[in-house]
Amino acid sequence: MMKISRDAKVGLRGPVILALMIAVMLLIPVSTPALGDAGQKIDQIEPAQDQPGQESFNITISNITFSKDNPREGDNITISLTITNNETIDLSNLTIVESVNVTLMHFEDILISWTNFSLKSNSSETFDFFWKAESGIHTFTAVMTFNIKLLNMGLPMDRKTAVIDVTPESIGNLYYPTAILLLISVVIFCAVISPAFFDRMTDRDSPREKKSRKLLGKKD
Amino acid sequence: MKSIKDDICEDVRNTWLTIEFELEKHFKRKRVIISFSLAVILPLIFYVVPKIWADFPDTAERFASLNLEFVSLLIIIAGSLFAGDAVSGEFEEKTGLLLFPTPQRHMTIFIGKYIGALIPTMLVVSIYYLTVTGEVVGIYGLGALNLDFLKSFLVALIYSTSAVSVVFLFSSILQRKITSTLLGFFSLMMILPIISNVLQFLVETEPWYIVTYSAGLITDVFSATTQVGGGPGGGITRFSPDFYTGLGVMFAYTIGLFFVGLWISIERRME
Repeated sequence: MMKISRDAKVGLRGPVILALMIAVMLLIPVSTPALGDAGQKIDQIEPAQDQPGQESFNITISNITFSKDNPREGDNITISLTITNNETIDLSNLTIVESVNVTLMHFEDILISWTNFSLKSNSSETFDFFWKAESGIHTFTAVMTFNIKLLNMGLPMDRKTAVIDVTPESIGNLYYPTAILLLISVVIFCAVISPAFFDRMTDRDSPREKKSRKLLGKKD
Repeated sequence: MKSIKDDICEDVRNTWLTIEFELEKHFKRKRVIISFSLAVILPLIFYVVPKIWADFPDTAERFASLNLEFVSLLIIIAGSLFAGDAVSGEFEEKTGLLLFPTPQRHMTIFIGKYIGALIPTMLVVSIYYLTVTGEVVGIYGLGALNLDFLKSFLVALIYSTSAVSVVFLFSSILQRKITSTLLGFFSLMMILPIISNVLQFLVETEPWYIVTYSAGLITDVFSATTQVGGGPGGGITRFSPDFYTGLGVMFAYTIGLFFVGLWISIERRME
């Protein structure tokens, strides 16, 4: 009997939380734009659209930008994240939402989190993160989470992905291959003119060469 | 007795005569036309195909890197074509019977033949790079060109000297020109790359002393990777040639094999 009643309690907790979440969601109709796929450019992500007649309440990650479009390995890149409050009230005045948390991730690793920031109505705020570029294609994801007072939990509300391609650092310098090409030319030229020196010092003409010289009546 | 200056001038003149003769021979046998056409057509494929069916890569470096992966193949083709029968042809066709008794030093004959193979090979590489440069300017604009292109071009020229030296060595050792051409081609195309891959992936040793491995520098100047793991949890280890070591290896092959080939050619006797 005891076991059944515990199960019944556990079974009830889920729908209650779900119902509570739905109620909160209906109270706060925050629009969540489509998730950006890895590789999708940030410009291609559709901005949040309000439904006609619906009370607007949207705080979105409007932009992720990089200070350089085609960076090279080792460059210092500033990743800028813009959060826009399109709402008519300030972020600090929200009653149901306890706080807004924005996390910047590099692939799966969390780089930095910003929380408890105040954002006035119809305004934007930019957060910067400095990153030393490593070669390859990198995906940065910004996730915005609302901490709801009633639920005591975070709800992911917006997510944006941006991809950056870092060109590897240039290897070597130009002087070395130039010097090697010159050296090859010099060695070949020396090989051409060397018999003129060596044949004088040592009688290195092959018997055939000697014979041909003799046949043509050519003196050494 | 002639002065050293006269002797040097005569040797240089004789070498030049051989170079001229070799170049004329390559023109007459339509080798120049074939290889020059390849040098234009191959890079054009990388322009025409994406233009019709797909998009070009995002950066000029990526486009060039993709395109220039095949320049080493063209270097091997051109090197085998021009140097494959440089020495062996004289012995097989018995034309050496007319050539070798002349008062011209044997050394100048063979050096002339070597340079006569090297010049068209380098010209082929230059035409290939010129075509790629034209494509890059056409797609990405003049600003996309940087010093890496010149660096890659110089590395390709050095690799062509080493490829010609390898084929020249086979030509001086072997009796038949078809054998020397094919052996030179396949050693650069298959044998050395297979050894290099076995060492890399099975033995997990860097084959830095193999010239075809160093040829990777032609494209690595655009997108170098020192040593890349195969993803989370390890995977296949992939090596990339070091710039300075790679160039040193190419230089060693060029000079070493050139002198060995030269010595064998001079010592070789007509049967």
